[in-house]
Amino acid sequence: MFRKILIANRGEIAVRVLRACRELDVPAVAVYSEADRLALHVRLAREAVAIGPPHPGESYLRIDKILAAAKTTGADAIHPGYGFLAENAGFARQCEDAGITFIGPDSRSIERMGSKLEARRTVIASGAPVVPGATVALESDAELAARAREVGFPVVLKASGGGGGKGMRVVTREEDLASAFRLARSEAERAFADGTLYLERYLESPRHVEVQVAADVHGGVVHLGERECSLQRRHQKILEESPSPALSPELRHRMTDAAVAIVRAAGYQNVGTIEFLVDRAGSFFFLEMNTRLQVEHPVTEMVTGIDLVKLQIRLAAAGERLPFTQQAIAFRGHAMEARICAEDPDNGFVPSIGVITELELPGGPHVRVDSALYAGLEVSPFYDPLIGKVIVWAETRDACATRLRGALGELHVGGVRTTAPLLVRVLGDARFLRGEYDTGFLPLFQSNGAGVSDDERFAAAIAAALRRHRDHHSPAARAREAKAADESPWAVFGRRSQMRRRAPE
Amino acid sequence: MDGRVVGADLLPVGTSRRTFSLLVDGHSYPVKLEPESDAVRVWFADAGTSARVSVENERERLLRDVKQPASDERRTITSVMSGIVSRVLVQEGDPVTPGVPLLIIEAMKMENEVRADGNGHVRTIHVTEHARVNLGDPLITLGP
Repeated sequence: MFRKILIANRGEIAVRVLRACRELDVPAVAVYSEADRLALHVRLAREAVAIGPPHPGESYLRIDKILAAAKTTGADAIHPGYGFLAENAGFARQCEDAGITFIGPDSRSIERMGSKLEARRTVIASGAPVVPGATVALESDAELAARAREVGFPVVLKASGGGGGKGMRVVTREEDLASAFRLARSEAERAFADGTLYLERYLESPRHVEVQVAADVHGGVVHLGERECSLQRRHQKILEESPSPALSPELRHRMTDAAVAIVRAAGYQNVGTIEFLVDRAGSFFFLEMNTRLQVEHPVTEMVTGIDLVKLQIRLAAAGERLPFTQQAIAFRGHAMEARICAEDPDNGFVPSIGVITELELPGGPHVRVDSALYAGLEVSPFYDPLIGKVIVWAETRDACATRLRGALGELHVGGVRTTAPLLVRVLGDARFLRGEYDTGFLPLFQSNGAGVSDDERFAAAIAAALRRHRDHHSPAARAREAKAADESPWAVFGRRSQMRRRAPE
Repeated sequence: MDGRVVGADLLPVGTSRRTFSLLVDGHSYPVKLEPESDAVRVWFADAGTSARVSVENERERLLRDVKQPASDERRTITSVMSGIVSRVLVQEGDPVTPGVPLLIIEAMKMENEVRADGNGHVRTIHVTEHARVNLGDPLITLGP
């Protein structure tokens, strides 16, 4: 096992990795930008190293500073989390060159599978189905337009170095191509330090189902089942579940087989995820491989009982074997994860930035919260809006949805808007509860609006009236009134108290 | 309430200014109250829903009835999000048509274009590149 692990990330995932390190009894080193001095991952780590200004390009994406921090603290391994440098082959290679273990696959695998373009070519060569598209890096506007016409509109522009919906734009008309290209490229450069884009035919409303895999350096490969990730906004997942309500046992079998075959063909080691699109006819296409831990990994942990972060660290530590065979992995019950993002879901998901003034977390059996939140924390504009995740497990899908809905109702994050109210409504929707949803579901669901019941309308009117009454009778309001009337506030207070005492309740 | 007598009680939770416990005839509602312009939004956490309620007394209702809305052909586009102005794409005096990108606001690694909502000319630019803006801040005034 490692002597010391540096966590090259922030937020909830840095805290998640810290917890795994603690259980493995390996000291953890946090790195932090100026905006994160008081972040939870800094407070919980054994050591913490400052790596620069808030902008990720000047801190969390600075390979030189992170490697220097590892050397200074004597860390012999780096866990990249997700996002930032997690799929940066150059970073993995520099770790290898510096004699530091990158907790993940080797740099060649990241290059091959982490580059969306190269992964497409690898999978095509292995015979697995891929989405029709252009497997070339796009340079000029003319080439872009020609390729888009070849593939056929609508097309989707994607960042070769990317994931998580960043640097991604759907284009339905040729005249919008140039502007979408400019924005996608700029976003990709900022988020992944690589502005290379490619394009694919945009499948209307497919389902997004991914298979979790794990492989050791001795040729052992297993899958840990699938995750359904079709509930998305702006091509970013917002709720995930396992198992997928859309897969027949036969389709699940074919998809997990394909995932294992792709891992073998790529010679991939460590944990990873093969993402597929599934159309209405039940055909599936390889979308991309994520050569890292996923945001939604807890869903798999809940149904398999396997700690994926500890597994990831163990597989990276000199030559450890997978501690289980495929047959030994048991899938039990159902799990769902709700992503709590600092966004206003009723206003186009615009980021909601501010200080967390209040925080109440849900509890109860099989309810897990992964977050780096605390009351008083400032949600900064520099980083991803994901501020936490609520994950629940239950015997059945219905019970799981009910449990998650209840947990999200208990969650209270004051000071910023979050995606929680929207997810509460989704979890009460009949179509969602029947498992009938695809990537087109959420926009349609939202366009139907969120009506309050008559009962709630009644309660709301009473609440607003009582609130106004309170405001007008608060000591501050009374003092203001008294001042306006050029009267002593004490006189007003005394008179009002008397009036209240006389008034019937 | 609509001719019905209701026993109701609204109490703040802890030191919170937004979170309240509402009891209406013994029914419990955990609510969150958010002030909005001239109104309050009441959130029901357990249902994920909200209602916007504006409270007026008799005097305010009379005032509202006699007040006429002001008309002005100039209109100011305000920011719908907090973030950083990464680029300003127009200059004062530029003619614009609906949908023309005016500036780009970056927040949480996403770039969001702010577009013109009608025909006209750019009259005033209220922000500079790299400026930090908050929800509701004026960005650009368009006029004839």
